[in-house]
Amino acid sequence: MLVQSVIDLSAPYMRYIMLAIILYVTVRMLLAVFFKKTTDPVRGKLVNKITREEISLYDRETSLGRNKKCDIVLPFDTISRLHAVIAYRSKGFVIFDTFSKSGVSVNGEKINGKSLVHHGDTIDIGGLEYTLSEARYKYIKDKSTLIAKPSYGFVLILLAFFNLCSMFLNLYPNGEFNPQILVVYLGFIAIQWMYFAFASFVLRIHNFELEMIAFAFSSVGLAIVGSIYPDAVLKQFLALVIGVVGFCFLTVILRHIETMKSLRWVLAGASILILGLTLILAETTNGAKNWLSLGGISVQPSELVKVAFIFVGAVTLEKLQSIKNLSMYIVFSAICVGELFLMYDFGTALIFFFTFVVIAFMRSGDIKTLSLVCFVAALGAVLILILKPYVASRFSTYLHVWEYMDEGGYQQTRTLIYSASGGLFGLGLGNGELRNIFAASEDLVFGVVCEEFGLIMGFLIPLTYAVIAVWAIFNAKKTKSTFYAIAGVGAISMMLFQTMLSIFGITDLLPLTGVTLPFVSKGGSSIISSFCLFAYIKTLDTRTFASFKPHFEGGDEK
Amino acid sequence: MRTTAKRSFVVFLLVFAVVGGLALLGVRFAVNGEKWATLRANEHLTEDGSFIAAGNITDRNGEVLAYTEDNERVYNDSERIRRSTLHIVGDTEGYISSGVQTAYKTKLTGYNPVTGIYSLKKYGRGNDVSLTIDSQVSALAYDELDGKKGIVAAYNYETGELLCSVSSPNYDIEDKPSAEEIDENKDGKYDGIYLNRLIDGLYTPGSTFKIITTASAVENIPDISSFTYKCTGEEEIDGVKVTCPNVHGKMDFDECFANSCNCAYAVLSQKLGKEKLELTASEFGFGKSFSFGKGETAASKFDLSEATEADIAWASVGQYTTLVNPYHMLTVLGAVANDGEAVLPYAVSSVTTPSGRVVEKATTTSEIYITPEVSNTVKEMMRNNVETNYGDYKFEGLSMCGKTGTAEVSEDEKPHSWFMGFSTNPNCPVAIVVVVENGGWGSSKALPIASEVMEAIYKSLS
Repeated sequence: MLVQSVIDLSAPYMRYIMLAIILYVTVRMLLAVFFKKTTDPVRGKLVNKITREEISLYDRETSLGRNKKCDIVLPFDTISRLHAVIAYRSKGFVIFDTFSKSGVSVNGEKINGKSLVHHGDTIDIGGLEYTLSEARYKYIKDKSTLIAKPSYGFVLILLAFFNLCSMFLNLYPNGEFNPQILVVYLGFIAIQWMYFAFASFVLRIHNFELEMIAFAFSSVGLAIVGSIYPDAVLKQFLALVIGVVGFCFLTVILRHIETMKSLRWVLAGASILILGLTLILAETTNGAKNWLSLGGISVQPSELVKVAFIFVGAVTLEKLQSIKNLSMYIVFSAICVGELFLMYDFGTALIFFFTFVVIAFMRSGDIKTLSLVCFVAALGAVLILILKPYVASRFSTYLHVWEYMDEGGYQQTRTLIYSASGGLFGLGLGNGELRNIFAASEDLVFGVVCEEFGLIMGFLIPLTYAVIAVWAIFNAKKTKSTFYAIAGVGAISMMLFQTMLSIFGITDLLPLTGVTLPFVSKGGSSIISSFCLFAYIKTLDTRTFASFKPHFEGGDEK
Repeated sequence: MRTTAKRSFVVFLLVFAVVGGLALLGVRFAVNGEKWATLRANEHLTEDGSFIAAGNITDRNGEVLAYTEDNERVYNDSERIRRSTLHIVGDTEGYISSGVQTAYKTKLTGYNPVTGIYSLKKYGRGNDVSLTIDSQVSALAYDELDGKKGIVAAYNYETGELLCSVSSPNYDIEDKPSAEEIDENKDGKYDGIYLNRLIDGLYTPGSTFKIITTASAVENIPDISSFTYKCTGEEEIDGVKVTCPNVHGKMDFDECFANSCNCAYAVLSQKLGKEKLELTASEFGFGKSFSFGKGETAASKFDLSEATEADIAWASVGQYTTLVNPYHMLTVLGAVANDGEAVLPYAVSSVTTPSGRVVEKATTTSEIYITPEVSNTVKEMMRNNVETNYGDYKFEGLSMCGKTGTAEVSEDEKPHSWFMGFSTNPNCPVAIVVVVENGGWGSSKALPIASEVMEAIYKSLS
């Protein structure tokens, strides 16, 4: 009873505290990630045998060719447009012959596709001879930052406080003590600290901005799930655990991307198969066949396929800037998008298609082919709308929601009404009305966030994803490999696009497709995929690998 | 590598789309937030479809007319007060559109763009509204109307405060007639029950319109003070007879007004002509709507564009197609009483948040209708009416000015009974309009009601 009355007394202040915590954590983390200064170590040099000109080689891949788009432009007739790529790998430097006419030789021997190069080796590129000189040290730690490095421990304490607030507010649903709530929120706090410890000491990661943002937003989501559906809170928690584990797992395997490349065929096949199975086995729920029930646990396979979709799309290392292997990716994407379309999961189909366009463009820069693909896709969409008019009828209230307030526009108008009711600071967790409407904590979660946590919180979430996208764009060129650039940018594009569909759909700026808001919406599959996608984005942070296990083997001057 | 990274700039398009969309959404919340949040569909504000989010509504003396308790709207204990203030306070379903509970819904919920409807959640009620109405006087006016249809409205012509506005028929809000009951009723007792006759009513004015005609004559006929007329009970204009109920005999201009002689005014209307009459009417605000609360009043109508000479004569005595709105008539009285300047009546004096912050305070607004010379002449003549005809004893201490009216509406119905007047006592600057529909003579129905109500107002103000 005492606990309850303390909660009742402090409830009006909690909304400010909770908003302040998320606002502080998000802004602080974005500042930290943006204004860090990282070293860009020179891993080695190519020295021209005749002119003694030097070409510096960094962590990232360096392309050589006649084309102006190459990192190093060699304007000679014997050089192909894109002649070769030199990459820095854990074993040392690797040179790739990118289908050049005159070929690449190492120590006088013509290479077949690719070859490892060592210190002192002579490389012949279309008649130009270079000597490779490796840097003395392989491990260079990044140091200086413009803005002081945040104290992650302090951030975690703040987030723990947020979760304690959620716990107290949700502890007595209908006036009865719910022990599950206690376990879940304390558990989630523990998971955050455990990850912090594991990543610091085992994975040797020293920067956690993205993770903290992920934790912050999933705390908001968990607060809402615990408040509206106390029965589902355990499931949501388990999904968070799996998500964090998945994140760690991906972070580890993405470090060894060269050895993981072959996985793409498996993942591509599995993706098509899983979506196909869903199409066959799933029963229609809410107009879409996108749920698969496995032994009492229902999963949304399309969410998990998202992770594979990015992986498959990003694996393209050596065939940089060539269109040749884009066709396979087009076929793969077309099958995935087609299957989603047949499930009537138009929102997800659109997300996949958009992600495909971004990745395909990054891979090939081929505007002609992509325009054609977009045209064909648009044609297909129009065709389906004509052939199956009931599909079009789903979107009929778009821009007319106020005229169909109690019919097709019910969810949108209620979202707007209750979001406006919340004002900038919200009515406090548990005091909303939108929560009583179907899919409140899934498709309508933006409205619930606005009503109960305030418009500031509601707008903070999409803006944060947008800022991360900007950061990803600027960091793409600093990464070690094209895979990371494509995967990272692809993943944040996917999440930002999904956020846009979710928020603008429910507020009638776009047609309502009913997709979830990453990290915030209820739903295990969605949470897991959000964490996994964040692992890709994290690869864009040069510090993720700069501080990874130092290699001392080889590389010293002989 | 460099190119691949450069191509990622295409994602900026998505970033712009998201940021742009959010900006648009933010603007929409800023512009429409108030409208959305106060929609009836917002279940924060309603209970079983009724609007319960409003705060207290009190009269000028602090008497609580409506409040919210346990998610239910509760009204004043007295049925007389409930009925007499019904149309001003309004209902919670929105049928009485000019009622405060509907027109001030947004203000009552306490919505603001920064905190949304949080104060409603915190205090369990919205903002408080204080009215300028005196509920005791209103209850008396309700008694005096005695179930007859009509309107009794009085306001302070210096400040604009509406002191009393009782519209009849009305119902008891704690015992509402059902929609079917209202629809199926045939005896007319629910006719226009949701209308506040002060705001929405349009009546034939009868002789009260002579105030306008008199003003026009004073304004336009140079030797009007020497005007005399001998009434024989009828006057033929353009082959049509204008009649008086009695033969008035020989009169000067003051007596013509005091006796309300139709024949004399028929002659005056000939002298004035339609343009002059129409001009004076439009100067007095005919054809114009006034804003009241969040809505507008019905516009009075004086249109001689297709009138014959005889029609003009009848129009000058408030018949023909002339229709007037009671709110507008209050302003006409205000202009006559107040040197030609009509202060506009209002009913809401302030809106206060539960924490005591005033979010809206009424301000006095006015419009100039006529010159002080004209208004003072008309005022003296109206004073003369009471002194010589109606009797000062009916308005003790008020130095009342007034004009009765008996407006013919149709052959098989009794005429509407009218009284329009104001006190010139500086301690009671109040104007009153009384209309009793089909009440008969102005002097026999409306005048006694005005007398009682004015005395009550005088008492409550002093």
